[in-house]
Amino acid sequence: MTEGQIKNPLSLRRLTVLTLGAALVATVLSVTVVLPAEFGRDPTGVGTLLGLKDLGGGAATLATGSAARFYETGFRSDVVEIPLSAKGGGGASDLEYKVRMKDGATLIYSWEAEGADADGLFFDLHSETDGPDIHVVEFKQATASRSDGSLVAPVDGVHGWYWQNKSAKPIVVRLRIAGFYDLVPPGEAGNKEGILPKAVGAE
Amino acid sequence: MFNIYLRLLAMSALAVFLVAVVGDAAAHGVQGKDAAFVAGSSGPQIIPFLYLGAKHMVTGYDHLLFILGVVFFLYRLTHVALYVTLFSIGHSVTLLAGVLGDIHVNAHLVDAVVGLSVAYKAFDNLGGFVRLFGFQPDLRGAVFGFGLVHGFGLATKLQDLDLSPNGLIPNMIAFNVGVEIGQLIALSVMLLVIVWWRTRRNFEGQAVAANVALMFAGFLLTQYQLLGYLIEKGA
Repeated sequence: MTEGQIKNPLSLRRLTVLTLGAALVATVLSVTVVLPAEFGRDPTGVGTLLGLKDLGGGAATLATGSAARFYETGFRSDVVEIPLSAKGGGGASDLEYKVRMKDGATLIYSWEAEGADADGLFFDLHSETDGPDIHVVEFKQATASRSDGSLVAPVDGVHGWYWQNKSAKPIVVRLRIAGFYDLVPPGEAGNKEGILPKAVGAE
Repeated sequence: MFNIYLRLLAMSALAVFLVAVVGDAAAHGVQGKDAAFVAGSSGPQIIPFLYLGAKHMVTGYDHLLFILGVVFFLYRLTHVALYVTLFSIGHSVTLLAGVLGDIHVNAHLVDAVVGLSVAYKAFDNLGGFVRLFGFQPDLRGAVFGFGLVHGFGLATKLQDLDLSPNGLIPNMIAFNVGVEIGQLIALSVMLLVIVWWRTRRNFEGQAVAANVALMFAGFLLTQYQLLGYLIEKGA
């Protein structure tokens, strides 16, 4: 034997067990820990269990993030009025309104609920990839009558709100939105109710 | 039984370390304010690039793990010098050629092979090739060949930085020299520890555990990079 190896090579049995063991442990950890923590994908559910999955989403956002972002085209702004009927009344008392964005695209928004019981509005701001294997990035769930903020899309897909009117009176959510996004055509995922903007901004 | 327990413990500790470090150094090497400095610089900046090269090597755990594997069972200083020189020549060739020739290799794939090089040498250290295939592959060729791959890895990191063409060659050479300085610093520490380690009674047994851990780290790094590649491609 030349220089550079152990004096007594391991027995074939020990060598095989140790090598396969190392490969197996590495594979298990790759899928259960590294994949959710680094890439925000969690096929086994272990990442969620260990609280690692959020790390992945955050890391992805930070990795592509910088204080200044630049886009070729596509700026627009819209005002959308979203009617939510009273709980138990006719029509939808809960619905989703989302817009389509590419990974890294930005929008800013401001919305306000109008109605006698505007406080009874629950919302859930999230992003999701297109099906069939939908990956959801959750941002905020709260009961509030207004919200202002911005969103940098963490994935390609649709991004926006689920709203639920928990009150006994109808509510209208008046959403103002601007940034780099496309409207979801009526009937598609993210705009099943077919809501159209009040004023369409220039492309 | 106790032995296996220790081995598992060592592996978990290594995994935690790797995941922590991998996350931090995912972009690997030159980033943050260092990257900002490079992007903003134009013209020769010898000392800063020397420093960046050395820093990249000292904090580049994949290069370090490979070197550790290479010197693990080298008992003579002339052998250490020979293999480290082969490795240095290998990675310098591709670092310079990659940057000058504007050769762009996918960083994830290069780093996957770099991870594989760690597992390869650890397996080799345990006498794996002799035992399994009945022959000892030439170590000089392997170290030089993997050196070439590591150099492509270094090149991709430098290319990520949008180097200014003004002063490119002196800066790149300074970076390369810095890499060698960093490597010598890391190597000195490793040799100090390993020479002391060999005098210990249980070295032989612990050496097996250490190389299994190296092999595991190599596999993990490879899979991490392959996952990164697949996700980048398919998203």
